[in-house]
Amino acid sequence: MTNMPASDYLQKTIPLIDLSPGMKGTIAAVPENPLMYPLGLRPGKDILCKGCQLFGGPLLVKVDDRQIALSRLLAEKIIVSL
Amino acid sequence: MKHTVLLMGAPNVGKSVIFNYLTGLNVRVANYTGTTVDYARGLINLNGQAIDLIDVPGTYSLCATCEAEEVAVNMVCGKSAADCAHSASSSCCSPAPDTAEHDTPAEKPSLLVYVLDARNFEGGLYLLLQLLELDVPLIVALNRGDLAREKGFLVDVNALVSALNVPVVPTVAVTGEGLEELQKEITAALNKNPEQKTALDHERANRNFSASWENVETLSSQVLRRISPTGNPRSEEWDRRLTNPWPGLPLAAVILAVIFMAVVGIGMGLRQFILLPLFNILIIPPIINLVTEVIPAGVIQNIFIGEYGFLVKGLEWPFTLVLPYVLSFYTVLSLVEDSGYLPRLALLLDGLFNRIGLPGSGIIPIMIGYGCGIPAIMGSRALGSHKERMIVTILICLAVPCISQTGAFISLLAARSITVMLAVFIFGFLVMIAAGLFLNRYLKGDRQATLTEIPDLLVPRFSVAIKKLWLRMKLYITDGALPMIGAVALASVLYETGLMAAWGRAISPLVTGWLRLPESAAAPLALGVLRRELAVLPLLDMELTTLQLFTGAVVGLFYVPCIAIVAAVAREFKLSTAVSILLLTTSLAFFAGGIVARIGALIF
Repeated sequence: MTNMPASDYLQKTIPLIDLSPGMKGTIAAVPENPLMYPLGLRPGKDILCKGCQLFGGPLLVKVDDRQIALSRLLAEKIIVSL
Repeated sequence: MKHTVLLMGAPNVGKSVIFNYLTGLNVRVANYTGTTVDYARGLINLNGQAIDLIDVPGTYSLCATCEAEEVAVNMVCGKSAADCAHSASSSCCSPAPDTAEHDTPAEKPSLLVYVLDARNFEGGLYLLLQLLELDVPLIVALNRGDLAREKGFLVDVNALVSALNVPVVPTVAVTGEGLEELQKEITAALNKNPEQKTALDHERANRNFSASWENVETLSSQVLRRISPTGNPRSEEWDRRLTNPWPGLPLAAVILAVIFMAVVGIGMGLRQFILLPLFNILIIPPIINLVTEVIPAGVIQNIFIGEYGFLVKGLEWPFTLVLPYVLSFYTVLSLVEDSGYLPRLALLLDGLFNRIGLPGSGIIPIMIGYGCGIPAIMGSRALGSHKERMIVTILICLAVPCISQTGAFISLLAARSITVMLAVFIFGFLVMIAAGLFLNRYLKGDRQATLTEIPDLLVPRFSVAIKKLWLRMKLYITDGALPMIGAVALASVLYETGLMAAWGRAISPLVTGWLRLPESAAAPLALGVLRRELAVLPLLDMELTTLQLFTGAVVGLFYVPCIAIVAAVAREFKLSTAVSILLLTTSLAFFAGGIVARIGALIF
């Protein structure tokens, strides 16, 4: 996990997976993964949850007007503030 | 002196389109990540200067996350990438200009052409900053500005040039816009004398932007402007429909059915109304007349125009049975590939595919495999782990018929009953699922968590599709039709010399006893080793019962995945892997065939 400033804990933060479709948040922390940053999943970015696939499939999110599919496992580890 | 120029950039930004334009070659292009999985090289001549242009697979950083990206990292970093592997699945290379490998002239490129995507501006900047830290001249081709404007972004080219001190050429690769300027810029960069190059390095050393994501964001805020989007808002509505489970999943079923029907329908039409009359009326009869006049009746004449006469069957099969479906399949595939629908299908299917050990994007090599297994197995390099590649490869070898074999199935079965044909495909599907569940359970290795970009939906460009189709046609003639004619000629000799009959008697217990097929059905089993469709085509003239047709088709489907695929698997993995897959598919073919013959006999 990247470091989170202490002030962020005062805000309401939840895992990305708990963001319901249509809701927006700001990324607070992302797990270590070489593709996260290049795909725009970086702390400080606004993120929109577009929906969740069936059969345990991935989440579809929008960051910087790009659509990214990411597994629920990763979505549990991404922290967003509301 | 010959220069080496590397064409680099993030995935799906149009590198291959630019490569095709500059070299006049035709490498595969599509609207999704991971189309180029190996480097392609083309020799070009710019104003008398010989240039070795290399199309490098797309990567986001000098840190590879799959085998395709590893190719890219190794190209620019030389051997050092392999030395500093951080973990089993990813190899990184630090842009340290002082290591000895970087100075080896053979390894070091003369120039990098960095394709920067205006549509996904930030995503490509990090690698650009990393590459600028290397001691290699660099030109930026700022591509897809048209798509960026549709989405409401504008890249300020002048600001970018002054921030980075590199030449920037705006391009729209698919229309060819800006590519002439890019050519000029490449020539100019290669002709710079050494002192100028040092000046360039000096400038770069003074640059404010080292490779970090903070710098990427600062740079992008300086250079990227927001404008009002010029795109069609309705495409976003369609996007939502296609990517939400409802109505996305039912729509996917409809789209796949339409694709299947279009391939079969267009193929049948081409065969019935164009290719069959052309060959059966205009081409083959004169050949038969000529041969009967020149060569006296007997074994030699039969080799040319007899049962397996290679001037008759050797033309009829590749050109009237298979070619129509090759044409229809690749027309449809090109359009689907360029639309950006496949990554959406992969998204919808990801959850289901995970149960057979694959990410949703495993659907892409499988779809390509319905054309030909070799590019599909190569293409599986874009998948994240070894296990995933292995599963996709085994499934393709086992139960994905190539388009040649599909053409054979259609000819063999559709005339008798379309239900039987569908039954063969569904049976193949079920076996694939069973095999996937089994392999996922017992193959060692892990799966990478899905994390991928879904590219914009685009209206496929007709000119791009035609080019792709043309490339496929040429490949089919050289790598498909010619070997098929050769194989038929061989069959013809074996048949006329009585060797085929001896072979038939030898494996009669298997063919007649176990599979309950006539003794002559041993012939396709011998030929099927060479080419997948030849495991089916000879059954055409044997007057089999419907059950025997089904049995023959099932055996043909699972049988040896053609000698060229076995070679491709040995190349991509190991020889022992190829031999194991060969044994697996062949024994499964006979096992399933015998079971089908027995259960079928109970039902009918």
